[in-house]
Amino acid sequence: MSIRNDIKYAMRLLAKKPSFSALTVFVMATGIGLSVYLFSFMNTMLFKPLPFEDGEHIIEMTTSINGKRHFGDFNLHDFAQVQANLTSASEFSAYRNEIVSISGRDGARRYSATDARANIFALTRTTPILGRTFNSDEDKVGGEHVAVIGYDLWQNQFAGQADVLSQNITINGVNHRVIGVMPEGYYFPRRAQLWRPLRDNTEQVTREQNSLVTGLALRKPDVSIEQIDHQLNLIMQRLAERYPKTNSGLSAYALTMHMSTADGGMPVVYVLHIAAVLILVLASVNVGNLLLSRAVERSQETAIRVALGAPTGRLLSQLLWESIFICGLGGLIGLLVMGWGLEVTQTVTNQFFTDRPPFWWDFGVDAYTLKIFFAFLVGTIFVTGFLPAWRNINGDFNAVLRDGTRGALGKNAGKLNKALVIGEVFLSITILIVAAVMITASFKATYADYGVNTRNKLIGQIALPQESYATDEQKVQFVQALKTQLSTQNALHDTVVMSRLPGFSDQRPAIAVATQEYSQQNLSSYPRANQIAVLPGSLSNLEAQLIEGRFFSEADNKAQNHTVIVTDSFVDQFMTTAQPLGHKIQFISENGTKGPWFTIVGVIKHIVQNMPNRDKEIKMPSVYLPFAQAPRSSMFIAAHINSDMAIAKAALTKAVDDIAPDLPIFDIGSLDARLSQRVAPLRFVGGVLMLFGLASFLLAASGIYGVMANTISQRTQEIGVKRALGASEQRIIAEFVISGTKQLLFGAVPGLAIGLTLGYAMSAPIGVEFMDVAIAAVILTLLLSAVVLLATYLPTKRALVNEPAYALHSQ
Amino acid sequence: MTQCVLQLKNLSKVFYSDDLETHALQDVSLQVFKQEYIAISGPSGSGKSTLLSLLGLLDTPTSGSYQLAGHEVSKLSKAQRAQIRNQQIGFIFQSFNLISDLDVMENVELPLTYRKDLTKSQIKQMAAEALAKVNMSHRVNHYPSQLSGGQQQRVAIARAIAGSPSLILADEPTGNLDSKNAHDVLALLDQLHGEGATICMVTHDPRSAQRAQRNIEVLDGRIISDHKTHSAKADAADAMSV
Repeated sequence: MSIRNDIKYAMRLLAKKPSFSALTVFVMATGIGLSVYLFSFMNTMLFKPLPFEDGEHIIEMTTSINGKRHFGDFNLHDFAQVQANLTSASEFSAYRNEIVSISGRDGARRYSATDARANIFALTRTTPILGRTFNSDEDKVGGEHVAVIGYDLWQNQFAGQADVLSQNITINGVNHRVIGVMPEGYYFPRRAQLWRPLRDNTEQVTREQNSLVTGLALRKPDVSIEQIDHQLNLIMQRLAERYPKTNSGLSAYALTMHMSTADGGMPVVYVLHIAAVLILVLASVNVGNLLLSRAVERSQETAIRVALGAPTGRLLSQLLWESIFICGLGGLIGLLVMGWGLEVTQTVTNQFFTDRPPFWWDFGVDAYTLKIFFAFLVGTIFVTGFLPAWRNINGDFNAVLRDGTRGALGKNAGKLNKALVIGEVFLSITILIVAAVMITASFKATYADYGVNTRNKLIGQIALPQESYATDEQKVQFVQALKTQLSTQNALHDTVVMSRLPGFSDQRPAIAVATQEYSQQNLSSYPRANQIAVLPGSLSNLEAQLIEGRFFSEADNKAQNHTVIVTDSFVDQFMTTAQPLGHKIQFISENGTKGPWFTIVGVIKHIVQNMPNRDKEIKMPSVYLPFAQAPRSSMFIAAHINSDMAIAKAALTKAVDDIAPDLPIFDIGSLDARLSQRVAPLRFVGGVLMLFGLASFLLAASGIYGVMANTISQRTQEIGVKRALGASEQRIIAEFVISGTKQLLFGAVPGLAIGLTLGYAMSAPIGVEFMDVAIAAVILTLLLSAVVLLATYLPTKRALVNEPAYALHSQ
Repeated sequence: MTQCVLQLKNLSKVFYSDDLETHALQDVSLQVFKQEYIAISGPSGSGKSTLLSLLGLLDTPTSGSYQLAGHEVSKLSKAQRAQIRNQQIGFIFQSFNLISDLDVMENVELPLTYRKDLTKSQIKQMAAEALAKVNMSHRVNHYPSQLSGGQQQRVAIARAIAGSPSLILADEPTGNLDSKNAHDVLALLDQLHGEGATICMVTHDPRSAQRAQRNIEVLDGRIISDHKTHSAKADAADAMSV
């Protein structure tokens, strides 16, 4: 009965002040919605166990150089050693990803394929819905060409025919027998739609052939990733001792599949989690404060209840019910909006990739999200209910009853209000700095200067199948034919053919500069640079800036002419001479074999070949060489377009079709759009953080104003007394502004320290300079200072509008 | 001729709220002379507190004239009024109105800190002297919450007299005190008066009013009587006999 009365009473109170109730519900919805969203988003991307039996134990193993994690592949022989000696994991498997062309009736299509060990399906405890997976006979050199296809491919390429197992599929021009179909939604390890046996092993492939794989295994229960890393280190150290030329400086590490997708950005992830918690705290403190001001307004009523013998439990219950309603309703609204937000996220993140995102990126309100939601809900109810309860319990009821003045609860309340403002300043500065870092990173990446003209460029990609273009000569012939065909298309101008366009990273071999000394004759002691193959004319057509020397001419595009163009960043970082032209450099392959010497014929201004945010801290130098001197299977075609995009696309497709009808040209679009898509994840997180920053700023501004207004309102009588004693208005304003400034400093100094620390942790992985973080911090501090000072000034000014006589009798 | 400290001529105060017009004071004329001890009494809502607020420049009249120490003060700016309150008027309130965050010494120093003509040491000395006068020197480091009601009011009196004002305004100074403490406070006011202070006290306690030299009764915003009290007559008789 008493609980029902308390509920009715709490509901009546909320209904009595609808704007107050709406405000608190809105603040809570914002806080809970945003924080749960970020936790759910991060969990889905990075922490949720893969949807397989033992999914939480699947690990991926890659290599690092000189302690720097770069997701490198293993030499097949090194991985065999890892498999033999790593006791903390089991069920080892290996794979490499490839883009393949599948020929069909309506032409060739491009698919993501994975060449994997036979046990890759067993690792995920998944069986095909049709047929079988590989056997060990198929997984060796000379084994039969077989393929397991994914559900989507089955539907698209075979219209879901039941007799698919009796059919062949032409992959990169080679017939493969379809032996199985995997269930819908199966894309392991990331986005594979087709699986083929790896078809090489240590008995058949030599160490020097340097067949590369990524490792997979199951982490044994009760073994941590750190323990696996430790063991991996020891194994790789032994290999480095045995093969110093190729393995010196090489180590390995394990990650969950999710973590490997985070690509070194884990500090950002952890900081975002902190930001999510902070914004929840900010919202809770705000609502707590609003309820607190209500408690103050009702202090006389509470005192009367105490005088009438109301037990503390009943009083607490009433306050708590109010919190439960506000947090519950706010939380529910937050949950609904967040659920919608996650749906939008799914749509947006699907656009991050030209094909599809990793299969576990399935955003939605799942069990984890609900768990977090309820945990946050209970937490907010406690925090928002606790503040007013604390206030009421610690009040001097007798004093309230005696003179009924607002100041009767005085000193402790004043301290609490100060603590609230300090807390709000601290939290908001911290969150705002974190948000500013992400927004800066997003802005810089989106508007990065790649060192070339990226506007009005149509691009497409081609992957020459190994089966049809096995030799360098075949690749060069194809490219020459392509160049001729492109020149016949009127819609395309200034054509470019490069192994990788700016913004897309290429292979980074070790490089030696002639006449320069290197400490040890092993791979880790040489610098590395992007090695880009280009058709002559490509760099000038991209409007790369020539600093000295010349661009390539047709005469350079011969296998025997060893000429290169380097970026100024290459000269700055790797050469000791100021006259690089005519100097020679040498590429060293992963097995330690040194190639021929190339002569530098030109130096161009730095071109960003990686993600722009990755190129900030240290510019990654590049070496460009004529295509004939480094033929590649994979290449980009680009052309300047003056006309309609559709006509240009058709011309580009026709140019390739005319040479190789079975060869798909994929990911056709504008270069700017592709570059923009590459930084879309950063932009997305930047956008989310912008929302966070905006929300935290509004929460903080309204919260600080609320607390200040409340504090000053409670001190109206004190203001009256001081004015009666002769204090001028300026004096009173100055007193409050000084007090506000002190609170600002007490909150801002630790806020800046923590914010800058978090900002620093985030800045390197996302390519923001610390100076940018510092400038953002100063601007945000000034902004928040203005908020605090205004929040102090305006209520004080309002309190001074009336004559002192009114303030003295203020109730 | 005795010096006139303040003079009101046809002073009125009207409060406006929504459609309601409340005439708190109507055409009040009054003179207060130096070293006078005046009690203003009347029932609740009669306008006595409004009158005290106007006398103390805590509020502005709607119409009429108010001269303090020979100067018209009814139309002064807020800053000018603040300065006059600080240097010429001392306030004593019913609910003491000490600042809870400040200790006894700081409370007494407070009005002095608003003055620019005093050094820190002068402020300290003046505050200490005022506290000594009210016998509160032993509690300088205590906070208001650590004092009894009587002690708090004595500190409030010290605060009121610390700057040697020409006029002390007391609003029901014994209203929150028991009879013993009320007696002590009134004795203190007597003592201050004896030392030359001009005091205007609002009270509805007849015994307190009887201690003043002059009793002004207010009803419905008007002064309905203004007469010397028995104590004044006794004082006059004493003076004659001397």
